[in-house]
Amino acid sequence: MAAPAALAQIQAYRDNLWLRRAVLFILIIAAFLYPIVRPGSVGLDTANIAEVYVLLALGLNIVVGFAGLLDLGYAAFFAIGAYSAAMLASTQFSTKKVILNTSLLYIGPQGIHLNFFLLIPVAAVIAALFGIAFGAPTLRLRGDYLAIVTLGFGEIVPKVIENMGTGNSFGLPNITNGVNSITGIDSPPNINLGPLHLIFSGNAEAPWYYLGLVIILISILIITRLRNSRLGRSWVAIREDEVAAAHAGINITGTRLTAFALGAAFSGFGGLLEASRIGSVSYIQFLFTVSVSILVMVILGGIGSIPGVIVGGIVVAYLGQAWLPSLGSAINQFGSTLHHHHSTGILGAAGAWMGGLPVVSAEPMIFGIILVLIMLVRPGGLVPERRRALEFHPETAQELAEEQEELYTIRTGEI
Amino acid sequence: MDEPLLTVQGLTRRFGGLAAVDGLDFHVDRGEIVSLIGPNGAGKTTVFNVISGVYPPTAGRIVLAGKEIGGLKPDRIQRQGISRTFQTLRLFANMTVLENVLVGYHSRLHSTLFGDIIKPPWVARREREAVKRAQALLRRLSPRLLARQDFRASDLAYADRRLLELARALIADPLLIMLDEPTAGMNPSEAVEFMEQIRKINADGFSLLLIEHNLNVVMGVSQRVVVMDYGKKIAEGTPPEVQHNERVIEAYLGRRATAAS
Repeated sequence: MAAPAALAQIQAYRDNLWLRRAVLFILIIAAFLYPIVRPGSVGLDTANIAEVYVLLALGLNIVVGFAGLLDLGYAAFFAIGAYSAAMLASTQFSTKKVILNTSLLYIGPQGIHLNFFLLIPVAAVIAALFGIAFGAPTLRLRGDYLAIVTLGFGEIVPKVIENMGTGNSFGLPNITNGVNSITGIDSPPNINLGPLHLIFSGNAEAPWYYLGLVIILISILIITRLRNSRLGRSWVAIREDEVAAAHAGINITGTRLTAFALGAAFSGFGGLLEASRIGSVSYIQFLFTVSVSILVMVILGGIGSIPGVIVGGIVVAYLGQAWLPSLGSAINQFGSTLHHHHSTGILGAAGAWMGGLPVVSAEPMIFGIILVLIMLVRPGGLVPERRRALEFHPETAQELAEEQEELYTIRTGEI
Repeated sequence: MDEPLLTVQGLTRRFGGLAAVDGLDFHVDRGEIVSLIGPNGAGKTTVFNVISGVYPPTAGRIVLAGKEIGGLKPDRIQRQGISRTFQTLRLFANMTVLENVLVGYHSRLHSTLFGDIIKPPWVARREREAVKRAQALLRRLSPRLLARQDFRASDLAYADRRLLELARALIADPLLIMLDEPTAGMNPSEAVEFMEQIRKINADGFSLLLIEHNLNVVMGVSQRVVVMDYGKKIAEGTPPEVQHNERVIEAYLGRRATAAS
């Protein structure tokens, strides 16, 4: 009696799976073609900003979405990732003599220059280590208390960076270059693979776009794997019910710590990409508002949903960089035109008002209104989290029955 | 005779000045079903919470299969072989039925970060085996539940949710399963069905400790009953013995108060 229903479900799931794979494939192709076929009005720099946002949103989603830990200071890890990249690929730390001079790592009078592709894992590991350092003493806290602690991290890290420059009051050498920011960060080496030439120089945006895209795709792959693993299950279990999770044999603090560390690692990717694309880092890039923006991407997109937070990152980037400014100028334009046609009366007055609106300064307000509207209409986010069916389904109901007959071991006598 | 599976000796748990559990002694033998009963506020759930590690005992010993487990954290106690359910259902509402069961298997599955990300064949195989095991268990408990393995836990009917919580506890192959009022909120026919499940599990070799208010269930399935009142054990014995025990009747019906006035 149960078998036909189960079979129908398996079948529906399979059909669904192929559809999903096809959509995913098309989306990836579209992402690769975007720099070629994109509309001319929006610059590729917006896409590059969106890529960093997406990486940050993916990382924070592990912490907030999967493990359910409200992190209000995630920009701290973004800063740590960016500064690790900056310190290890610039003239920040120079020695008197050449200590090491290889193609992958140079340490000498010209500073430290670690190859970009080695820097990717290094930045992630450094950020993860800071995640562990911050998380280990504090992840016993729950809910609101933890949120306040993370808020503290978000405040402390930029402050420390600001105050670790030349002549700092800690009596330490210049570590972060303080308020002067670190500049002259290396670009990745040029990539020449057969027909593919990515030259990271001048104002070329496309190479950065492709680099970011590849890092994002790898990140998505890793995060999806994690999400569907034993570890991912335990994150969600803790989020759903901490007490029940503990009684199911999950070490709460340890499991949360892995979420914190891995979340931090992905912001390390984001920080690295940001630092080397802009070529400089300053503590003011990582203040509280940044933490809030990343949280907005996660919640707006769909907390806990990988496609959701990707959409969230893209939407926030494009809203802020492209859509709101063009909406603003459209409003102004419309107002001017209206005023032009009706110089008097209510329409004329409205036209004058709209034509003269300082829309640029009202952008945060419009952004806020859009957020409120989206959350009212779709509380689960743009692409809400959906619990996926697991992928291990036996081929037929018959097989199911046969396999399971032997798997359920009767315990009698051998406790 | 062998030493008992679970021995509780002089167990005391105070909250401020109140001793919710006061010098309690009892044991559960291997393969046994023992029920813990008593009026509201007798301290039954506190006993469960102390044994399962929600809070440490103020005094006393808890020994499971020869190992002292008093004061360990809940996840460590689960690893030692005690699984439990809760008076108010505690499922992972947004996870699927199958995932809920798999979480219960967490401590028996081992994985590394590397293994979870790369998913080499041996990790994939272990995971697949865990899924099959979970499916086998669901099938054993209720084919209806197996057919709903991809449902969200919160979409199940109430009795099925109770059953799912039981499955989550069972999958770890515990030495002892503690059920806190498993039939609370069930209608009589659901309670009878659940009683059958308890018997079936016990026949499969699992030892159980129950808190139960439904006396039909208690008398129907237990081999031994421990009666508590005001944190102390007031009686112990087979269901018929307990039913006719003077102090038990007093505790439930309050004759002592009447006599004193």
